[in-house]
Amino acid sequence: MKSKSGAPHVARSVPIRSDRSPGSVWTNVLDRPLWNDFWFAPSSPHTLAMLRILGGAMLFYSHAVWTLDLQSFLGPNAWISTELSREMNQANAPGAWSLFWHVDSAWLLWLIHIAALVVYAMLTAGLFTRTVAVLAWILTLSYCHRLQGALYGLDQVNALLATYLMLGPSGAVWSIDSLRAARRDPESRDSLQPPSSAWATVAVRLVQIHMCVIYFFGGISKLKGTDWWDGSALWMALSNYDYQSLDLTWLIRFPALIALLTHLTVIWETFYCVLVWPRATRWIMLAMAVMVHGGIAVALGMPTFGLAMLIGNLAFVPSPLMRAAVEYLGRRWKWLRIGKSATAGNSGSSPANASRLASCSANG
Amino acid sequence: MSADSVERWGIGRLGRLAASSLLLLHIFAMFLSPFHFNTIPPGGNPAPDAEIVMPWLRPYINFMFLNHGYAFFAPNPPAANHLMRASLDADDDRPPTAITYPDRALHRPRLMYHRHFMLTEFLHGAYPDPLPDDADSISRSRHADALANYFRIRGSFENHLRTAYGVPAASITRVEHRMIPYDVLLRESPSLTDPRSYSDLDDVPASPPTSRVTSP
Repeated sequence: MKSKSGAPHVARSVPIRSDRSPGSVWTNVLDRPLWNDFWFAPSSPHTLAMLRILGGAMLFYSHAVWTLDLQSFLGPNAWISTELSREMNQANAPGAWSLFWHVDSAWLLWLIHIAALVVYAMLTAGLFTRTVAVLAWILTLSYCHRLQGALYGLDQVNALLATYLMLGPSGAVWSIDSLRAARRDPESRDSLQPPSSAWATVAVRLVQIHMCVIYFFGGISKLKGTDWWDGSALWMALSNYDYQSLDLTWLIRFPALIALLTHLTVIWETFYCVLVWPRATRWIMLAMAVMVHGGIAVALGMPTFGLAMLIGNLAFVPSPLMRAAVEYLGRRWKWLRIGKSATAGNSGSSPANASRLASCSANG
Repeated sequence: MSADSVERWGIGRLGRLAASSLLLLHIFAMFLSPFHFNTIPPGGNPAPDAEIVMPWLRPYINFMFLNHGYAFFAPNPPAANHLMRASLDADDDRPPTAITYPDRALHRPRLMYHRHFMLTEFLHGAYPDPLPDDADSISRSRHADALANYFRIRGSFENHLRTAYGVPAASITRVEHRMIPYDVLLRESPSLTDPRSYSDLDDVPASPPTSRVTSP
């Protein structure tokens, strides 16, 4: 592993404790630069901020959809009644808790739901971010634990993002909070960088590792099935009318292509957790994520799930590159310049500079 | 605490130790849940090593909503999907109204369609496969529990329909939609919604058993 600057670490730069008190082995392991740099090397919050904006928007949309039939999913006499939901959780998932188990009246349910949408909107915009990030986490878990039976992969990624967004300074940049801070202290408007933070690193690392766990088990679960070996799995998905949102059954004329894409999918998913870390293979893994999840979004009727997984993959885009890309787009599309004051002062961001910045990234 | 370590990592030594311990715990929990899930064979029990620590971490895993296997379209994509047909009885002589769930035209946007789709799959997934005649008493006891659970879910669905539509009675029939085999599609090019690919599934027994089989 290399340091932020790309140079190998100087392993002796941090004194190693020499005492042999109980726990010293444990504490010495956790003092190693390799571990500490991975988790705690301060990084700029741009990647985390992008996760906040896109993840917050996904949280807002996917919860706003409940508004269309709120009582049928969250009311006392919902498909899964409140009482049954509580009992199933107590029996099958001890430890789970939901605010909605304690809501009996329609007006209170609506009040909480609207408040939740306001919280998600504030998180997306970055207004009182630290507070609303914690509220968003509590609310997201409450929805998930109440809505057994109606959940799928989207909710798992939503919960993942809500959990880790509250750990780091996701509102330090590209947010209303950062604009308000710049207005209060005009000198900060000219600062080149928002402060780097160890907690930004912790939060992004957790998203990265969680994505790796999801893909690894997604991959090895598929290896237990015959369809992923005989190359027919993709066909089974594409010809599934109840999932289908784009008819790609004409691909039946190209069985070798279907088999190849099936095998590439399972190989990519299984080895993502290894190949996404080295710079040489990271972009291949991320490009495949765009293809696989883009395909799920467009053809398999799960645009929200596909997009949510792509948002999770953004955790592997280094902060300097994320910043450069947004600034580049900000020059192309002026409406994106809302965050200029918070990221200000830079010059010369271009795709070429962005790739140079990526090569000295902190997040991976 | 070393000042240069604070400068380098932004958090003091004690803070890093505490954070590292929590991170290790969380990552272990994140890994353990799908590992535990994957060690369970069909109708079997989890592997002993996965089961050793699960009792301690289960409340945390459940609370944090980490209790997933991440087996998307695995081990195989579904060879059949499960929908349901709701029959709503009016309180006069009119014939019952039938609604199929999910319905692309009725349930919009697509996310709402998918929520209903997951509900119908959930209902079907709760229905236990029939027992063989020579099943032992433990299997019979588990089957009875699973069946009781299924009828509670079905009952909740039917109660929701009665409340939502204001009808005196509502009943649910599970519907299976099988994928059309590859060779049939290639040979005959039928529609993916060919009526022959749909069939109703019976609940056996049709209503909750009045007495439970208990283990000895």
